[in-house]
Amino acid sequence: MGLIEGRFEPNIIVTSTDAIFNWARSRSIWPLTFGLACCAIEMMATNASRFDLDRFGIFPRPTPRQSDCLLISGTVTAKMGERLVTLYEQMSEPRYVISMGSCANSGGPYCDHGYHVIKGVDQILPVDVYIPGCPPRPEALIDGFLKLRDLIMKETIAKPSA
Amino acid sequence: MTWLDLLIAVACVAGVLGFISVVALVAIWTERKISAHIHDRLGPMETGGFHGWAQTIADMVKLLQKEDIIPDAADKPLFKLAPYIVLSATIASFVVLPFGAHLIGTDLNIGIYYLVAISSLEVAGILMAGWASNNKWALFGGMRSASQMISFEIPIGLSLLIPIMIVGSLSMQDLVGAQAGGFWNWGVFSHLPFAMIAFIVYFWASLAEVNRTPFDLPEGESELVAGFHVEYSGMRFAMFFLAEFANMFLVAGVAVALFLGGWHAPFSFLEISAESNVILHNLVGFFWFASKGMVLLFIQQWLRWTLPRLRVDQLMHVCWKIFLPFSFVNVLIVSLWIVLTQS
Amino acid sequence: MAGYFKDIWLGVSTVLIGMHITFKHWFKFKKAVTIQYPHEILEMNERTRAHLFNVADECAVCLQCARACPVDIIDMQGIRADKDEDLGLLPTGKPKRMHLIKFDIDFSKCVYCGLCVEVCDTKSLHWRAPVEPCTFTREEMYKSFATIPPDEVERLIAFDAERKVKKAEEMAAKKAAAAAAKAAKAAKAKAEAEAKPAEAGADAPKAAKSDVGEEKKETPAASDTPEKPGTPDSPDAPENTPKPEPDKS
Repeated sequence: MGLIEGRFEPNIIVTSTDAIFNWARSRSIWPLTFGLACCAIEMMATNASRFDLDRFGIFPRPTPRQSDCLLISGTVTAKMGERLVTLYEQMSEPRYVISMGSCANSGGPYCDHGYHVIKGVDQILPVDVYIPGCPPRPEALIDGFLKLRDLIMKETIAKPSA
Repeated sequence: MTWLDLLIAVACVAGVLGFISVVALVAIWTERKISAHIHDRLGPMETGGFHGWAQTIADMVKLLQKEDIIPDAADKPLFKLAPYIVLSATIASFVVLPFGAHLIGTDLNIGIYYLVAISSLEVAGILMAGWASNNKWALFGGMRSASQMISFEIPIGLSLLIPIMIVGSLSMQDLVGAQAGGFWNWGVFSHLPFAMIAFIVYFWASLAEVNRTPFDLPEGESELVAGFHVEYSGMRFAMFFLAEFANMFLVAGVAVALFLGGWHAPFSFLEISAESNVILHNLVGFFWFASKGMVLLFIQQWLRWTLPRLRVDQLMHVCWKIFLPFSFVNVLIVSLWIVLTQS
Repeated sequence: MAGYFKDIWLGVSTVLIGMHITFKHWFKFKKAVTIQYPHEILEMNERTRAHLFNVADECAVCLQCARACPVDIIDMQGIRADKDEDLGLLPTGKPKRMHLIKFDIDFSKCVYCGLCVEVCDTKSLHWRAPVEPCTFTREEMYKSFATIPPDEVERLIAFDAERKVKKAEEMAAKKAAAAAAKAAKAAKAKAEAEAKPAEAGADAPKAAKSDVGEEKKETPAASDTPEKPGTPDSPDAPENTPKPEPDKS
């Protein structure tokens, strides 16, 4: 990335390229196979037969190099926070972060007294979509991915109008 | 070399490339659909309308524009070179695959020998990828891949010897031509049951050759994060992906050409003779070849979603203690048979 | 040798059995169980903890939910209605006596335990079927359920303050009256006490005796901690007694 972004005025070629790129990006979100706590169980349930995230082209990749989305599914302890940042840095652009569940959103039950928990993963990573729930139901996770899809559809490679 | 020759060569390569891309796209889509249906799921449904037919197109376009990461610690020239070697070895192998009576890149007189030799070049690419990534998982994956591909070359070579001995030629078109006139003339059914055993051994060993489950140890997600392509992102990874699926069709194509009648129809009345219409003859031949190849591709995918991954020692046991003695004995018996019947 | 062929046969046959099973699933002898979520929605049970909602008109503002919440995320505030104001009836049949001017829940912290719903007497706080919507920012997850418009809230707060002032004045008046009465009473008592001073002198030796008894009880603890003034020279000794007690046990 970086070769074509922010170099051209928003003309017809750029916008149609945007349309194709955004369509492809939003239809093929590959999250990292990575679970932290009980939300990960719900994430697996969403990937399984009943709700089947594969319907949206979402299927987990084991290596951060090939994944587009870091799904933070569970409590982020201070120790795991460092690893999360490492994983995020290993991912290739464009990359997105979904914060799933109360623990990742704000520390959840640990927000007042958890000395070991990062109070909201947005303190260490730029979060795109927050999914409330403890843990969120599979429907909520699918909603989150659809919301991320909407977010991706608004992206552009054109020069930002200063 | 005239301009016309060059033009034909370019057209050939373009056709092969296009065919590989289409096959890979279709194969990835069917793979996801088959896996989904075996899991009682639905698989891609949203992208592109009807049953997510555009899913792989979206994946490929996305991979095209992903960031291309080259790790600092990697051996950069080798890292960049590896995917091209894997993909070009695959494309070069397709040159001798007979899609139709005249739809063949070049009908070498040592066609099958060339194919086996060139497709082994892929090992070099994979080993290179594993080494150059400077990542322990990638190195493990590359090593495993090299060991299993080299060991499984032997049963594959011995099994391919059976139709070669029966026909007495190394040229792909000769091998296909000997199987004309109905499915009972196909390579599988000659010298029963020995050619059949050779076919089964070849098919199973070819799964290991293309790193498919149950022999997908090089990329075992649970042990080696993603195997030899763990550090590859974006288009370079897409090349490995493309090469893997193209290779699946390649080994299926070789099985079809040598054992399942190549571009011949199961019944001779389903073919159009070359005398009446050459183009139609080739197209129908292509149809039969591609559909037989796709059926074998489906069986590969079916096996993948049925069986768990083997351990390394089990893999080597299967190769050296089962496939190898069987194919050796097979070769001995068939050669004896041929010697006795010819004299 | 027989074992070798048996192994091969076992391998081949089990692979075939496995392929038969997957084949049955592949070709829909068992139907796909997938629910295509945005297009068809799985019907949730009545008590599914999906989406918390409070009906402001039915809320009694009893603060039970805010007390029950294990993460203290329910921020609620009510103002008592005027005596002649009619706010309708609660689902329990009693008249609603409180204006709900603030009921905010920070869903980014909510653990969806349902304790608040359990304790809700009027069932105004309840679960609803669709799942909580996702958001792009954390602030969006901070949701308010109070329906009273802001200017009305201001009016109510002003009214409440006024009422408080009034009440305080009333209280002050009452207090002044009570103080006056107390003063009168105290004066009366003083006069009575002065009338019999001899009785107080007779009680003094009894009190001194009981103090000595307490001192004796303390001594073992005092020997353990000699730096502590174990034997107080003042008769205030009973004040120190709670301190050595844990040492004894």
